[in-house]
Amino acid sequence: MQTVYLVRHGETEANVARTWQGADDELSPQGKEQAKQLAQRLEGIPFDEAFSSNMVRARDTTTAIMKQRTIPLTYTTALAERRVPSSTVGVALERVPENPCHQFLVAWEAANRDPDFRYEDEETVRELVERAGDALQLFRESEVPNIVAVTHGTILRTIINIVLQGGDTTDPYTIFSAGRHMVTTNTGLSVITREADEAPWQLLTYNDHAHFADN
Amino acid sequence: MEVLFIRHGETAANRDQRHQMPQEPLSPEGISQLQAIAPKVAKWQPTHIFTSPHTRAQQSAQILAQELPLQVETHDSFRELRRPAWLFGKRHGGPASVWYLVRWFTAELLHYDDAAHGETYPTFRKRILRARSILETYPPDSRIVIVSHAIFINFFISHACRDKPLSLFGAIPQLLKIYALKNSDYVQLHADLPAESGTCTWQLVESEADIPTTRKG
Repeated sequence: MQTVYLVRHGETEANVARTWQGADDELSPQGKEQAKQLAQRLEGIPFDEAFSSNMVRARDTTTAIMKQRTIPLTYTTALAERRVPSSTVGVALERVPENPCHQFLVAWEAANRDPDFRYEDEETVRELVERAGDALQLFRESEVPNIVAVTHGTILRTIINIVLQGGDTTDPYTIFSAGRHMVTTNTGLSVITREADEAPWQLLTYNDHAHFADN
Repeated sequence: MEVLFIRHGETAANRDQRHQMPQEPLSPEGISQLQAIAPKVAKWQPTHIFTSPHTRAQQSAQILAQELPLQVETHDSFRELRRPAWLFGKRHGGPASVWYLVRWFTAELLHYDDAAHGETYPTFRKRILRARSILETYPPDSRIVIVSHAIFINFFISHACRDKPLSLFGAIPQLLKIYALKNSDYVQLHADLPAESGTCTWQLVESEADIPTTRKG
């Protein structure tokens, strides 16, 4: 039996402003508070190993969770957020022609949402889905019973959709696009488990955010 | 930012000059090498200690951490060049290695697939640039010890301010330097961060860490 507690990082100013972000945004004061509340919530869970995205907002969330623990911690790009086109970093999506995020999405539509479509220097949908598969493989190979993994919205939804598909489809677009119908809040907790080595992953909890119910 | 790259201690495969698997452990000599430098690394006053996920690096970092008030953080971006399985156990200077190396440099040209042939030079280079950008997200006054590997460390230095590939001939001096970086040797890099856009401030510096090393510059 293996259980993985997947956590989305705490809030950043960019999350509030709804701007697309790069690797170095820090947690906002509210995000730090969320991370603290999450850490308290997780205190009683005997994690054996931690994995974290290498991006600053995830690292800061991980630091809060790791506080008194001396378990192995691995920073991995497998859990990093999808890299967006450089021209869209720091920009909020507005459906107007001059908006770079809008231009990117229009180009993606025009390419018939091809998983291999490349606009600029972003991660393609196929690369994203492959990387989400790498993250699941990392958990399997770790073999310890309880893992905490700190990650980001898009990659988290992609990981969960691979779990939900259970291999029924490996089509990157199908796996990726289901994420559009899922809400992931900052420090929301999702849990996946598997019974035995060869057993498939199952989703136990999705985006539980009871630890900051007052917001 | 100061970065002290330390090559892991000796393994049996290092002594035999053979390509090794990620699971290869330190030899007793490798453990002694790290124990010998650990107090001096502590005097350098690191703020962070990172390691590659490979066993020989993990063991090396844990020995260093015994002298430090820090917890080791594993970063998969600082792992060694991923090589194809058929190369493990082969000698460094042997025909298989030379053949591998030629293909490695020309991978882009020949469209080699990474999964079957290990990490190609273009993929490896991208990972090095990403590792550099990860370092740049840490506070500018950080002093980071990174336990890594000979090929990774030397190519990190080569690409510290160079995003474009090295030519095959340009790379030959780098390949020779890989052999000059012995087990538990170190190199120090410095960067003034954040650098102005379009400039690069990464540079090799004479280390103030008082550790004997066989490698200079």
